[in-house]
Amino acid sequence: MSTTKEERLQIRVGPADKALLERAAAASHLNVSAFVVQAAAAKAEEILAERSSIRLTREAAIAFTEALERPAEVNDRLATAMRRKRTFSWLD
Amino acid sequence: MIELHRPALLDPRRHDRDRFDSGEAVLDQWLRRYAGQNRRRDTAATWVIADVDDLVVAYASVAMSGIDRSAAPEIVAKGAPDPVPALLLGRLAVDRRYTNLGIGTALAAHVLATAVELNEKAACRAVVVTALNANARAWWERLGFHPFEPDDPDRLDLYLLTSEIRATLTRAR
Repeated sequence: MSTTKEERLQIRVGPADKALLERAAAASHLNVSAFVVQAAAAKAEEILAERSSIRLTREAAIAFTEALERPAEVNDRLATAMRRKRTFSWLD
Repeated sequence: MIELHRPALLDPRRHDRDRFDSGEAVLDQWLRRYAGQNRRRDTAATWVIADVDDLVVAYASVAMSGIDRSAAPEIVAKGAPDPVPALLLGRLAVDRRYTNLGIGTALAAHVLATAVELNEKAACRAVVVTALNANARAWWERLGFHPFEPDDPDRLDLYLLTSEIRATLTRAR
């Protein structure tokens, strides 16, 4: 991921959890900071990718509802992408 | 020309995922750790495009979801269904060695066609994607996806209506 600038995130942790994180980080050959970030990022990605509910803000909910109620239209960008020639072929 | 298998559900015994490298560590790790559909905690179905040796070159994970509009109570009060049933295309990754061939687009097209089919049998009003970063958001926008929050570059959820997918795919045929 192209991160332009690193930022600080401070978190409080109890001694037992801290010891656990340190042991797991050592076992993964990572420092504690890298370990916590990697584990949390994986969990964050999983939550976002498998949400059973996508909650919209008020503005987004209104705009989305208007779009739903409009008659169906051809999406030009999608049509263009679908017409683009593939540079591979299917085996089956 | 490279020859690839059509999109198929990931079969952990058949498909080789160990060498998959999309350049996004979280997406690579998720694929490697995936243990199969019979694991209770899996809530998503995973589709792959693999090469002649069953090496995965692209994957997508898809889950049923709902679009919650309760932040605008007047809409829900009008009797509109809430949540709106939708397909969440939570992950789409292409191996770095296979980019710019149209593989990601082909896999996305497969999921979009699935949404049209689902909508005919049960309701599925939209396909939602959650982009990992600004580059991914731009890729989805080129495919025609609309950001839920067009004015906020930090919001990375986008959608296509099943009705517009159907109208577009029908005309393209």
